[in-house]
Amino acid sequence: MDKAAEISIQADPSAILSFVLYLLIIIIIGILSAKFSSSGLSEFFLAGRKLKQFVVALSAVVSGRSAWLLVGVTGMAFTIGAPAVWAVTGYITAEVFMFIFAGKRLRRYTAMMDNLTVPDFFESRFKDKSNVLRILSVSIILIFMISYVASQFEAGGKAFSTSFGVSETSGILVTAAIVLLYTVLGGFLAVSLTDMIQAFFMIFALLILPIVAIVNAGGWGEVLAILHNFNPKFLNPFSFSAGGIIGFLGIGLGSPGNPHILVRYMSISDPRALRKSCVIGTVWNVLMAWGAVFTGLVGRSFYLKPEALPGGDPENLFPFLASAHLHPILLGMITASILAAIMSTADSQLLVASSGVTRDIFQKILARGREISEKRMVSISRLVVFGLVIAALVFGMIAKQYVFWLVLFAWGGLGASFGPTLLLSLFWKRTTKAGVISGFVSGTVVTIIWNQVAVLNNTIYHLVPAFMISLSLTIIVSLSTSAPAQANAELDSIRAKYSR
Amino acid sequence: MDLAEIFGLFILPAAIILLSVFLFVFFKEEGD
Repeated sequence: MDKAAEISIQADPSAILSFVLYLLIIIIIGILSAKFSSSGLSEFFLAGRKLKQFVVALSAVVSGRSAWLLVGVTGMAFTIGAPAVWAVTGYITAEVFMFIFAGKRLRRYTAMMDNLTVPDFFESRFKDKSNVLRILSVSIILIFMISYVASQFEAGGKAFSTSFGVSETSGILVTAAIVLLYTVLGGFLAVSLTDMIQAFFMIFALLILPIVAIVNAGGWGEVLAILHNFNPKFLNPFSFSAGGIIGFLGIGLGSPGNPHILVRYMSISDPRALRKSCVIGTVWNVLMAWGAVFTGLVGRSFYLKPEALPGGDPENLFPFLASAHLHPILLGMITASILAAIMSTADSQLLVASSGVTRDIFQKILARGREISEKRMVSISRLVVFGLVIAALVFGMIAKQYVFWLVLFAWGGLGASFGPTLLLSLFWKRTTKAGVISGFVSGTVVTIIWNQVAVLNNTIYHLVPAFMISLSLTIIVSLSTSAPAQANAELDSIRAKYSR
Repeated sequence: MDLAEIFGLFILPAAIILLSVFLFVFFKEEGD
């Protein structure tokens, strides 16, 4: 049987209809958000800090989950079994604490200092007049984000190609065009609202598919019997090396340092509501993650040999299992959910990269002191988003074979560079500018070196050592340099105001 | 299912949700 044809929905009008309906909804949201987002940079890049707890919760959660969750984690659970739960436990737990502690403090500080971006935060925090922190942080963001966005477009191209039978290049261009349209028009508001819609598609897909598949398998007892017979340790989460488990948990170290997630916390209208966002976001994160794990497990009970999957690739399990068990309309929604995961990540990354160029480089450095209207700045931001989409497309074409390699350390590189430095800047008064610079540099350099050296790369996921070295160096260098005299005033005032 | 399997597939996700509820209830700052 032609496996590629089997998972294609191109011949089914009802599947195409449900998919097109999804695309129409997100484009309409972009159009409706355009007027609000055109009024100023704060509106375009942070939705004017007016978002409600539910939108922030879902947007923060799905912006961090790319197609990796739907096709990567399902494939991982299919391959290694229950130990895959450690790959999702780390980031979900990290984000629980981000919502409750770091996110709230970041929101309070950045609103007080009128910061719109993460580089804005670092410059304000250390009263840096030299632009070193700003230029360094924007450089790190651009290096990792363009490759990250390029990889999302590539994944979108593959999803379109697999589902609709179009060429991969056409799929990439369609993905880029849709993301570009609603992001350019509606800015952060459109991105967050579409994230919310996309969150519903993702959770629906990740719950309905394993449930239907388990029922079709004859019930959970039947699935258990098959898997126990296949491999008695397949469902034991501890049947993995300690290093493997720590490496998987270490994925969570990326959450505090990825700027496209951090700006979600900064956009909430009332920082107190982040406590409610925490519960909503965590429930969503857990259901999606364990839905993905169960999909992999039940998938294995159907296809004990990976060769049964298209191309023998476990990452094809998700659409393949859906095509075997779901009605065409639901299959259209499954395709939409993969595109939703891709788009909800790419749009957030595009906006963060655009804010780095427009706000941090142009407004704060190149055009410092010049009077430029807010509306004009938004127009420039839109042009920059357009330019970044072109850059990501060109980068994807030039470095096609490296794109997925690069994304492997994009999450880790951002996490190791910004995670320790941001947390220390928020919670440790003794942090200095020199300490943060050493954290930025060491986080990026260790990530790259660890990935290049096979001996190191085979021991543990690079984010764990890179994060720890960045954290240690930030602390050591901070203690070795003069304590900032005036730089802590705002942090003190927040602490005095809100701490008991 | 043995205890390890039940832990990984059911107790662990429930515990993470409970952690978020616990922090929601008990970790308030002034102004919350």
